[in-house]
Amino acid sequence: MINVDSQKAFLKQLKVACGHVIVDQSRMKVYETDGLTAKKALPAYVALPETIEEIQACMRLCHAFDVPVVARGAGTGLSGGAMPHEQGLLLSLAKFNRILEVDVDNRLARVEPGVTNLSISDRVRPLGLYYAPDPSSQIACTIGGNVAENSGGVHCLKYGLTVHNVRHLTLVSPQGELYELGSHGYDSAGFDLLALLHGSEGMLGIVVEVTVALLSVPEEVSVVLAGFDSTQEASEAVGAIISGGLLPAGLEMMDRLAIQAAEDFVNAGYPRDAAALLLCELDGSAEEVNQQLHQLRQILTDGGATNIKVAATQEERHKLWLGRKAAFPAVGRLAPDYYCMDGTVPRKALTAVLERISELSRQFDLRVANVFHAGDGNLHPLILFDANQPGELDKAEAFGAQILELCIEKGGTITGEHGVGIEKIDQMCVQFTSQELSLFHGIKAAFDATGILNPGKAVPTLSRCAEFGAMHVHRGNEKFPELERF
Amino acid sequence: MEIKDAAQFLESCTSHSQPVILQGSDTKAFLGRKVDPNNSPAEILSINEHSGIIHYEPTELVIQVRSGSKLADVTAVLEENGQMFAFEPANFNGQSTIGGMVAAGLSGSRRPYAGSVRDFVLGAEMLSATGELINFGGQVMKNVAGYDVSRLLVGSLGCLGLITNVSFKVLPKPEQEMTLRLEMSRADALLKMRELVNSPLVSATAHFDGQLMIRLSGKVKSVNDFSKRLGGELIATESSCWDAIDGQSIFPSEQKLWKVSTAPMSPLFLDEAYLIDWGGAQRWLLESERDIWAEVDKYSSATLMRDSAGGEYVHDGEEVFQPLSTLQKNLHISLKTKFDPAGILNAGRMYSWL
Ligand SMILES: Cc1cc2nc3c(=O)[nH]c(=O)nc-3n(C[C@H](O)[C@H](O)[C@H](O)COP(=O)(O)OP(=O)(O)OC[C@H]3O[C@@H](n4cnc5c(N)ncnc54)[C@H](O)[C@@H]3O)c2cc1C
Repeated sequence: MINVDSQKAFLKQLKVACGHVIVDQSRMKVYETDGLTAKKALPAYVALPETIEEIQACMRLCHAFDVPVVARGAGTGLSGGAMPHEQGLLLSLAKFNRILEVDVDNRLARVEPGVTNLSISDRVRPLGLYYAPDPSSQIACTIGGNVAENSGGVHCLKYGLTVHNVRHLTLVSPQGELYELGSHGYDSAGFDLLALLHGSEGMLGIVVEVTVALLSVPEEVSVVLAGFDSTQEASEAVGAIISGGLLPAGLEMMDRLAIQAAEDFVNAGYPRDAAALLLCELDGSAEEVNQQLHQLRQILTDGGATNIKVAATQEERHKLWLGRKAAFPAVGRLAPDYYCMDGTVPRKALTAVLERISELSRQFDLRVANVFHAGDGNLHPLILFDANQPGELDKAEAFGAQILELCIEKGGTITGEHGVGIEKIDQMCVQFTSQELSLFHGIKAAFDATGILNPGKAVPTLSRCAEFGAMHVHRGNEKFPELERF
Repeated sequence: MEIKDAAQFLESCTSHSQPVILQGSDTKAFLGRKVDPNNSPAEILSINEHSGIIHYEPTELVIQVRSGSKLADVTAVLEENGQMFAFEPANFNGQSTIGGMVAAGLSGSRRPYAGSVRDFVLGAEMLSATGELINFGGQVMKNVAGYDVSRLLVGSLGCLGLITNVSFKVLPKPEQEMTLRLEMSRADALLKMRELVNSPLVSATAHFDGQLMIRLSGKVKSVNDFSKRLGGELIATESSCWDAIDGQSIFPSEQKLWKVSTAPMSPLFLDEAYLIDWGGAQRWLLESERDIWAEVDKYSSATLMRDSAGGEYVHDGEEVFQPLSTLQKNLHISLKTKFDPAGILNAGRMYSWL
């Protein structure tokens, strides 16, 4: 849509299609960025529809006028997925915040996409139920955003990611048509499009209703904290716990900088002098938890844990988790800015990767705090920097890019749960071949032939990769000569 | 056939619009439609020779296997290490391959309690219809880079590409398993299944012939204690009843066999079902006359699992899977075109129009 007349016509019709439209730039400010605050853009329009019909009307209109659409939940995404398009419509799902139905018999909750993750569990807890995936941002992030990013959380080690806990979706296509995927059973007919939609970053359709599976609150829960003198010992203990046949509900790790920041912030009772700590949650029947606890203690002691603390009461557990859940903001107090990475590696590579990250930290002269989902091998190095210092943001981004490539080199991936968005788009060229990327474009085109949904995100064009690729050696080659560039 | 030969073969088939049937041991001939290319007869491309474990690290709980490998061989290796495929795939005729297991996407009795085939797939390599070897996902538990093609391949019945190897998450085998039998009406059984749905020790449930079967898995002491609380009669050969359900040998073959997937407590076919399992969420019907699809609500789906004749592919013309909405149908066709531009792969196996 280029000319001014059609822009005017579009806006006029948009105001008919949707009761709540914002065009005033000062009121758009709140939408200019998501959790990746380094990337900003103001959209041309913001719409806050209240009904599915309004969403459909908006999509039909954008399709007719070829206007890009970026869906937005709470904007807590960390890869720029919800960053607006300058010529496009920002479609906020904020008003879709109702829990439509709780089906206790079938353990399902049917909710609107703008419902926050935590509010589902809050609602059903009095019934002895909860929704398992629990991103640290759960107080704010929406279930629609969770589907789009296939979000994980502390309890995903045992209970799976969003994709494992969603049964049914209602979507609006880029042409404004309404359709459904999945079922209330465990199987549905045809290709598994329900799975394909998870982690598709708002590129394939607008999620307008989600049916999630609910679980019973476990009979018994126990949280164990273990301090270690080195990150290596802690990493090895992670491997020993998993290979010992234990299946913890969560298994998290924090390094010294993160421990100290969390202690200063919320006073969770963490061992300040430890080089690393593990938080391990066990759940199940009282009997099973007891047996597992016994085995866990043994593994931790054998693994050199210097400090083992078992939280038995709800309060103690809450306190131990508090430090972990507040770790990002706590680390955020250490420097004006931080940059959160999200690579995943096989567990056995944890030690090597953490070591290399601290080497890189010295090389780039930027501090790093590590606080992450160790049981899944999902790293979250937080690179501390000051965006007001000339060149520091670039340096932090270059450092981050090297961490991602390190993850690929170790047989992992550039993103475990935060998505590619705009942030990791170049690293996609490293992780995938041009044939693979072409297939991604094919999938996108099957759902969104004219490419109006979130253009420019998640999957790089081949020409972008060609430019980027000039300085890269592709997968399959063990060496990454550019790692020594700096 | 070597992978590079298979690649050349597929490339040439695509350029000549030569239809191809992708298959492993063809043990799931009962599932889906007969591949019915409308112009020239199809060539068979078998993945059977492409077998072996590529990579298995028990401590990582990850195994990567070539798709022609026999499920039985892989399971045996996992067992030696005290591990298992938690989705409990059936081993049809003892000959099922890993590729077939993934392409068919059939999970077994443990499904509601542990997850499905697609839940445990971490990554897959495939040969596209144009002969390109491409790779998605990987060996790590969490991965959201790019669209989730490896999960899309699960249950795709060879319509999207030739799966060449797959990485799975595996789990430790429980220390002890036992199956109990309780005399119970269907209605009571359903309530019992609901009560047990999230019990960490329950790993399978089914009701037929007036009896509720419950399998317990876990640590020896916990399983023993729990079994005492549940009561009922212990069945000596634990696995056979679950194998018989998952392998469908338990069902008499005079009539069409339908599998209906629905919400666990749904009234759908509750009384008519020959057997219900998966905590109530799966209902098996022996029914040749009724139009089952018409009776299924929008949150459920029915699959014709076996023709009345018993064995081979469902005959021409008829559909096997729940009909899709027009929009879903169009999405399937567009996706198929992107993966398989000449439409050569397993044409008509899933739907007559695909
Ligand atoms: C402090 C902090 C901690 C975090 N911890 C975790 C964590 O532990 N685990 C984790 O996985 N993530 C975590 N995140 C990342 C983030 O919270 C998740 O990615 C979350 O799912 C995003 O939800 P949102 O509603 O904020 O989505 P947004 O940021 O608004 O959007 C994210 C993407 O989803 C798309 N989208 C949103 N709604 C819809 C819809 N209805 N239909 C289609 N597309 C849609 C957007 O276009 C965008 O591409 C964290 C973020 C922060 C700031």
